[in-house]
Amino acid sequence: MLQILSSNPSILNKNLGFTKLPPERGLIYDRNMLPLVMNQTKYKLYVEPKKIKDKEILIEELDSVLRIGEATLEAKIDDSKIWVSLVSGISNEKKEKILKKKLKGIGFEDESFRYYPEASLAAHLTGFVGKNNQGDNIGYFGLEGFYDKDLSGLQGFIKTEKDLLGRYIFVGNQEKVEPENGRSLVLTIDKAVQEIIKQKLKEGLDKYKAEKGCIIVVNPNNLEILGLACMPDFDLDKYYEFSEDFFLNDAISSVYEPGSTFKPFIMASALNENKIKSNDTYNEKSSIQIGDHTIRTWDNKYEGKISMTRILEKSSNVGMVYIGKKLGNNNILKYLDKFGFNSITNIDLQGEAKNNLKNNNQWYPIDFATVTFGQGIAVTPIQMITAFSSLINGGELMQPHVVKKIISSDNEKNIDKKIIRRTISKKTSDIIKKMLLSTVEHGEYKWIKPQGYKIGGKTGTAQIPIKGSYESSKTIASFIGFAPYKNPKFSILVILKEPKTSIYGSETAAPMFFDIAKDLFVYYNIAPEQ
Amino acid sequence: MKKIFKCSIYLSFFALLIINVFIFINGMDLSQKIVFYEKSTQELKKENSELEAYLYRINSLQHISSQAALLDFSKKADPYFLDSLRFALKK
Repeated sequence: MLQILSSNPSILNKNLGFTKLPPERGLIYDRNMLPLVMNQTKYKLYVEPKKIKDKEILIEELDSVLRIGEATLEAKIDDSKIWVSLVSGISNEKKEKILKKKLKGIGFEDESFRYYPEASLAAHLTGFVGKNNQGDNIGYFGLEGFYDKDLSGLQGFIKTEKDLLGRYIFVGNQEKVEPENGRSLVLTIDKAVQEIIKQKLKEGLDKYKAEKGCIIVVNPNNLEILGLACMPDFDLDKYYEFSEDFFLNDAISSVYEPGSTFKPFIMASALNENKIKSNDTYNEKSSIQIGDHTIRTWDNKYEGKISMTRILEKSSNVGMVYIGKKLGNNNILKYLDKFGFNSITNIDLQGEAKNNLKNNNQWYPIDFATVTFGQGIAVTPIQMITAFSSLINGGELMQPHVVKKIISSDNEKNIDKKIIRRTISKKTSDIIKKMLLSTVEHGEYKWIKPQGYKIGGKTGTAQIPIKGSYESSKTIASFIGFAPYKNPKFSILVILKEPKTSIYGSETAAPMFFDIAKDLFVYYNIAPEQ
Repeated sequence: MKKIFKCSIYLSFFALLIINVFIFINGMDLSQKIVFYEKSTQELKKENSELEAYLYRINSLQHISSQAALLDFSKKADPYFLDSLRFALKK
């Protein structure tokens, strides 16, 4: 009677039940629709201390299944409370075992967890799902972070009358809004390519005793990321045991000095501006003095008259300084901007580092000289492979992306290639491709290459700046290349930080590159060109 | 006449009451059935997702590579010849 007379809605709503209906988080598939991230139901065990008959027996029985220690269980069960959450993430088998014991005062609640069939194969790419301040699920890092709103979906609810026992009555007032499940992502990543590069990276870090490493494989024609692995990484199932440093994806979140792998950009810029021609020659006599700084070739050997191609082949620093002078300071800055080294790539992963170049008035003559051979400039690996792909795809700078398709319950959205701008002409692109092919064929170092295939690329060995000066024994060794020559199917960037067995990219990162290329030729069924 | 009218009103009220109770009980029964089927659907969904996860786990590259390692299917496993191949080696 009181309820009828009172206009207070809180009293009227006493018999109305409101239950949240959580949406299912979207799944993540590789490009062949094989799942990388799925959902699984686990259980939270709770106790209602007031309903427990014999606490000691209960603890003993629970510990016989859970094996977390009787003392831990006892400490958790607070007799003064009505409801206590005891253990989270219990598997179905354990739940069944506990239920068979028919213990009083316990219960289970469903919990949704992420499940990774391929374990941590793409940990940095996928990111993980954790909790926010309110205890709700939220995606952190990588795809889980970037696409959190798409993946998480919209919560539904059910509002209906209840009887005295708290059961729903489906007559009278009721309202139900179905949850909208999260959208699923289909990636550009190929699970097999990811497995290949991760395996090779593991072996490479071991073999060359390097501290860290990254490998990125992209399709240069549409900037789809086919594989991306950085190590050390972390265990997705036990992310909470790792510090935040492990979560950072060095491929997008860290900058490095690219060293000689940067030379093709300056060479291509000079060719594009008609400041040099591919058959021009340069007289490589000796080292060059710029202010107080002396610039030498890496082995301090000078060949005299050499072609532009030879400058790349022997990775001549002095030759590159000559080309830089021909190109001019303003053009250097213009092309750094054009290649995207002054802006982020906008890749669809959370945590891309904002990396801006120095202001134009902060560039000194030595900076213009060293940038020609990739020192004194910091780039992210993803910027590097994005710009490099434009060198070999005819001159189109594209936005790299990891997601190929977003699937919701009622439609599918395809994500196509996005051209940002033209960096160089098609003609320049053809010339630089030829030069890069020649660099691999006639370079200083003879690698064991896959026979019959034409591969283009460039090594890089950059000293690491420590407290304002370069440490000669600590380097970043890298190799960037593409294959097959005529119609490139993939570009690969291999980076090793501080390799110990050899400091040179030609002796560490390059063999890893050729090893990966060999496996990719087999995987993609690419026929030899020669 | 008045009596009959009065009686019919009582009867109709009584009939309405019976119908109301009948609908209410049926509603309760229906709600219990809905809850039961919703629970069963949820259980089936859970079982299905568990089986799906299991299927993808045994189909994963990680599982295959661990099985390969267990069975020693690796590049290092060269064939072992009991007799030297004199004819094949042209000796």
